[in-house]
Amino acid sequence: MIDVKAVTARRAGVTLAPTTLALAAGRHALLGRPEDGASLLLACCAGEIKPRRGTLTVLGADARNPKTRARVGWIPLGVTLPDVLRVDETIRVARNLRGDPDVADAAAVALAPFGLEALARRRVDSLDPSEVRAVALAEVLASKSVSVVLLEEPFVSMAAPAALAIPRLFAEKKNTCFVCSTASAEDASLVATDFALFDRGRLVRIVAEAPLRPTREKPRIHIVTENARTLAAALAQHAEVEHLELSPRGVLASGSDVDALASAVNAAIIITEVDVIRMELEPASLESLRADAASPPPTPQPKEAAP
Amino acid sequence: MTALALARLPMMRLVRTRRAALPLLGWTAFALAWTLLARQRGAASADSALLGVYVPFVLPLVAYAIVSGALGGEGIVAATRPLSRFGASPRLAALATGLVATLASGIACTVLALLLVLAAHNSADPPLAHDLALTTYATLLAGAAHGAFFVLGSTLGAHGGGRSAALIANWLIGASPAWLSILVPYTHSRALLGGAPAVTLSEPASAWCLLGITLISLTLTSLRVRR
Repeated sequence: MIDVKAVTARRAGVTLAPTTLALAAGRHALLGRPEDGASLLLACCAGEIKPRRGTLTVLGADARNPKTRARVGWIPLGVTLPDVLRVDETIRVARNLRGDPDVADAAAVALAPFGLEALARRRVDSLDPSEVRAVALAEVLASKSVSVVLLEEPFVSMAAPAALAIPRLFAEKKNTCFVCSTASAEDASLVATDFALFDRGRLVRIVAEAPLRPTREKPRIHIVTENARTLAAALAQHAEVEHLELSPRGVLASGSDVDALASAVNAAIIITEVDVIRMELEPASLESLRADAASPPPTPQPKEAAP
Repeated sequence: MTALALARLPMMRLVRTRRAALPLLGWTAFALAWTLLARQRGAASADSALLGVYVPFVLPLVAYAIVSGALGGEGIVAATRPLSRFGASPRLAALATGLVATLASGIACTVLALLLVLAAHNSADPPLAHDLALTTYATLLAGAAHGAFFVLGSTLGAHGGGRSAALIANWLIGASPAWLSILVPYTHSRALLGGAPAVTLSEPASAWCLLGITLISLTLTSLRVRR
């Protein structure tokens, strides 16, 4: 759906080195900070910025072609919607311009999956930026014409009900190419299934798995619980837990061996009988992913069988 | 349907915001007060009412306020960006927005001029119906030409700052006797409403010039916006 061949681009101090990438239907993340060029490439895909060199086609055509734009949902951080129109009017205008059939309850249908029906009669200029982003995303996901969704920082400045619904709605919508640019490996792992890692304007690595695998960084398990101190006290008894940290919602435990760490956490939970709301392996940080890309860590050798 | 969808945003900006309404009301009140005061002194006629404050100040400033209102105080590209992100051609969106601003400017300037003629009309003037008909034709063209000229100005500058430059150029160039003055709407508006002719052009030629300025400005506006 998106074909990037040796594309270079520049915007406000950010330069994208020649980049080649092909994105088919599915969920993809461009991982990197704004200065790394991930969001610059996303803006090129949206037709907002003209590449300096190379060819970039979206749905087989130039990304800047209005017919292509009608099939692309572009939601940057500062997305603009028609300021004085109401949300329901905006959705009707958008459907009209995208070539979707006009239906009476288009706004309700679009906003319901996000639980934002109450915004339908509000004027766009009365919404806060996170609501504007949520409405823009709702419009895009409800459109039958849109085959490519380009979303900058999916969980930043996004109305809470929409942020909660994004992973589920993205997973449900098949035959659509979702591309998110984000500086957070954790956010990326929530919405995408493959990851293109950018560093200072270069595409350094493409990983077709959630960035959760061990890196040089020690694995960390985040346990969300209301009895964080009790659990932390129990975890401190285990030698496998090398570092403990109280987070706003629970405990962060890290250690060298992820399996041993998980066993220690399980044992502590059983002993203390605390109620665990959620437990998850923290994704690797952007820095450690980059360090791995620069010089991959040695792969562990299989242990020799005893004679 | 697409044309209506494109025109809806600038129309609603005019209807739902005060950006155009407040200056329009203010200038209407000022022009009416000026005309009624002149009438009290016995110095009012339809011609003097229109040429005194309407043509030099009220008409350009009302057209400027309406164009600003239709574009939401932005340049033409920023004003139409919310529509082009839904797949509208930026050129068509700019043209639709420019047309709405031009028509609204023409209509508002005409209504205001008719009010002034009604307020200033006296027995020495030509018959009222004749005066109103001539005023309608002249001010519709003048208002539309000013509107389109300012829309073209809005293609320049980060926030449509070229619109203000166009307003000042309209006054400065229009007041000069040089041939260059036929390029701005002020010269022809003045000529059509009974003022000094534009260089050596006749009244019908000035009317054609106003129409030409309108069409050329809208065409250039559309061409200046990238595809």
